Amino acid sequence: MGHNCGRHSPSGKGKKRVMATQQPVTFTVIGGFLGAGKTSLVNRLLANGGARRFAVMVNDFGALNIDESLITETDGQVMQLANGCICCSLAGGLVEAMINLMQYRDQFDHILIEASGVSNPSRIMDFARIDHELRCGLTIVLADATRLTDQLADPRLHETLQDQLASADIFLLTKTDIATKAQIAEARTTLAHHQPHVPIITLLSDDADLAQLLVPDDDTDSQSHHVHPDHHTHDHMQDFNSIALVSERPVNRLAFSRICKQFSHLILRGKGIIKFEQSAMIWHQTGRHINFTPHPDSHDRPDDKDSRLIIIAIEQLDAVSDALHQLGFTSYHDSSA
Amino acid sequence: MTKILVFQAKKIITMNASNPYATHVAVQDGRILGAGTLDEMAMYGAYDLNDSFADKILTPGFVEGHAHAMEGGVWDHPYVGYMDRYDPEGNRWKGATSMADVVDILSGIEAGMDTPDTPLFAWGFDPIYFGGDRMSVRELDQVSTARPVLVLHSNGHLLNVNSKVLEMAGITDDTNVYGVLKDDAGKPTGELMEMAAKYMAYKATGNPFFGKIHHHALEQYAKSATNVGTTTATDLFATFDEGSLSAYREVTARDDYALRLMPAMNTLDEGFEDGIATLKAAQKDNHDRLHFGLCKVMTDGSIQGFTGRLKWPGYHNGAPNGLWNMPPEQLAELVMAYHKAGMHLHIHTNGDEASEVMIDAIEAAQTAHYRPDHRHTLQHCQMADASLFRRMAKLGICANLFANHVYYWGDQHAAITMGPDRARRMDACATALREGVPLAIHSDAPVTPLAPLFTAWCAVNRITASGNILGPEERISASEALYAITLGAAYTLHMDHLIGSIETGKYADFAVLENDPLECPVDAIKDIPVWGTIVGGIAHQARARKG
Ligand SMILES: [Zn+2]
Repeated sequence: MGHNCGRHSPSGKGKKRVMATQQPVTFTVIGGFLGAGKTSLVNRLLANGGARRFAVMVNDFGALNIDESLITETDGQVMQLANGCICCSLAGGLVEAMINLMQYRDQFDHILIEASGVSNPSRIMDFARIDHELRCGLTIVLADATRLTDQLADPRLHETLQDQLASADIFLLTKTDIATKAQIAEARTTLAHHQPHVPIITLLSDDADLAQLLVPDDDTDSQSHHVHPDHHTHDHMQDFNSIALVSERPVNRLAFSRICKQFSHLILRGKGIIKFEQSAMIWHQTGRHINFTPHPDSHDRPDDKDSRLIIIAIEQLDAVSDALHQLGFTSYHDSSA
Repeated sequence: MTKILVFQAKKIITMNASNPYATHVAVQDGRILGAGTLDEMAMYGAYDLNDSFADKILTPGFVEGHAHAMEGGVWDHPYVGYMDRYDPEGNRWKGATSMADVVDILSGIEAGMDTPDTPLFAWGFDPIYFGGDRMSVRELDQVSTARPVLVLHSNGHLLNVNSKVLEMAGITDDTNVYGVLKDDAGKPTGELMEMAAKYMAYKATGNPFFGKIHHHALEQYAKSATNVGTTTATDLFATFDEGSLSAYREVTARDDYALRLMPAMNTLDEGFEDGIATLKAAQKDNHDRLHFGLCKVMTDGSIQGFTGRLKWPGYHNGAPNGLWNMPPEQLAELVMAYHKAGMHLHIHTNGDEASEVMIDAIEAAQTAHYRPDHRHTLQHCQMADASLFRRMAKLGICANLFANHVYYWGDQHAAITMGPDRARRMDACATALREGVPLAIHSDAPVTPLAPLFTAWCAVNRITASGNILGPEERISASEALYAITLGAAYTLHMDHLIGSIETGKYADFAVLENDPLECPVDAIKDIPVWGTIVGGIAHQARARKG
């Protein structure tokens, strides 16, 4: 699967940045079926975004919780809000809308795109794969637990929905509050059957950490951020397990990447500094979205040979933990004891 | 009340069943007082006689139910399509029948451009006729390596660029993104498809077709219309932003604007309620030459682009089924909301599955909120079979069929997209009429030329570009075709009380022709010279054809 954002991978040839001084904008695509709750997810991310400066693109402005009094400026299709966010209309199509939006590029760090119910999120994420001013964020695909199975059975939608499922880094199962247990179980089975390597999470009510999970801030400042196992962002998120591991030996890159892919369905959030044989990398992962960026400090502190990582998962992490132990990692608390 | 003006003609074909032919038509205040003999017209009172058309044929002004005002604007950029075309000024653009032709045309234009880095945009490129040959940077770099050169394909999906554009867009051998086509050596060919690749190109060069509709395009659109006898035309996919709305208002406010314009609002630009409110607000500015009220819905893609949604067994060549523009369920909600609000829908459907989904949606809307005379129209509706037409008739749905397709792509439809059998029922005008569906036919200009007599010729003859007759059983008579480009189209626009025939009370809108379309050989209908039009009693002469 091509879920790595190839051109940010250090193995790719270095390319000229159009604006070397500016961090690329994180580009997140929210896809999924009609009625799965895409707009309400956008609203929740906007409400819990903290300091993030979002630009959002939605099909229907009216469905966003935007208080008219918040609108400070409207310039054609682009609307600036008092809270620092920007909304952009998709009228005229995504290509034209994106070109308009990117003229305001210094006013936001994240773009959230609400894909239409029939679009293929992969084709939208291609914008971030081709434009050096953007970086791939997550492709989040929502599925309505009460209707997923029926929708997939509709011959008029089947190929479209399959494309959507295939493009997901992470699934968000929605409407679990009104779905029956049997529906939820069936929906999970269906998703796992179609895409066994994609983690499935359910939308928790009032989860303020949602934004940190889906639109992680630390992706954008990974150049300066020091990953440390104690930095458990999601400690208090219930129903999740986490592990923290360290390794004093150089890590085999191929084997590590293989583990990232093999257990992608479990890895809700993984991050760390990994000292490979060749170079040190910062690793970020959410489901199938795997990202390595060169570690800036690796030359400054050649003595610090330790690799450190943390993984937050939905289920038991024993299998991942075992695999990483075989690569030479040990539990953080064991080694520091 | 102004003085009565009587136009004399060799023959006036009125399309008014109770008074089908006349020699004179009396006009007052831009409207028709009556049609008949001079003696009969004299009974209305004192008049001035205009006998300058005494040797010409008058028909009702033609009504183009599906075209785009962009037809006026595209000619600011070079045309590189396969067939000859005339621009609004009457200049002939010779068709580019080979890759070398395209390079020649563009090189000539490039040489005449004075600013060194203004992008050169060309449009209408249709390599479907070139038997598999694909354009690449190799050809476009012959035009220029210093200036960005972009060639849009007529299907709207593909774009070819030269190496300058690739460089500006940062597209290199290392770009591995879907839609950036590469050759065997791994080099980008300059052929770009899908949104992301085109975004990168347009981000670097701009795209003159983005943004609001311009005054100039609307002015040129009216010229194009006059040249072919058209007096009412839609702009069937319009964004109702303030810039575009004021352009429509300002241009049509001029007394000499030679067209009645009917922009159709793109319903996907806003939520249902906002869209309905926007349209109702716009309608307050309606006047004789500007009629807001139509709503456009896009359902699927195109047949030749393999993006139309087809019923079983799908594409003849095995291509996967096409793309929805919106989930069918959401389309049905849209139809319900707009129908309930009393709106008039014009629904793009190409494949038969798309038509069926929208017929289902209208049936549900009619069942919930019965409207005796909604006139919702399926636009293109190219693959509907007799059973779908029967349902349309029952539900009061009109069809505006894309007759020009039979000529332009009929051969490809028979061979590749639909196969020999289903291609025969493409744009099945005879079946639509037999089953009682109100019928219009259209050009979708600038996709194919704006020229209702050519469109009528297509429906009457069904001759393809290679000279085959595709589905002779679906041919209709010359008088049925003339009806379809006048009163038939007016009916689908809910304007048949104002336009489409020459009868008392309607706008004095006429096409002025040199020959009689009902008397000439049917294969000559497309070649009838058009003198021009009369709109609201004012004559507008077509630009002389040059080149
Ligand atoms: Zn059209």
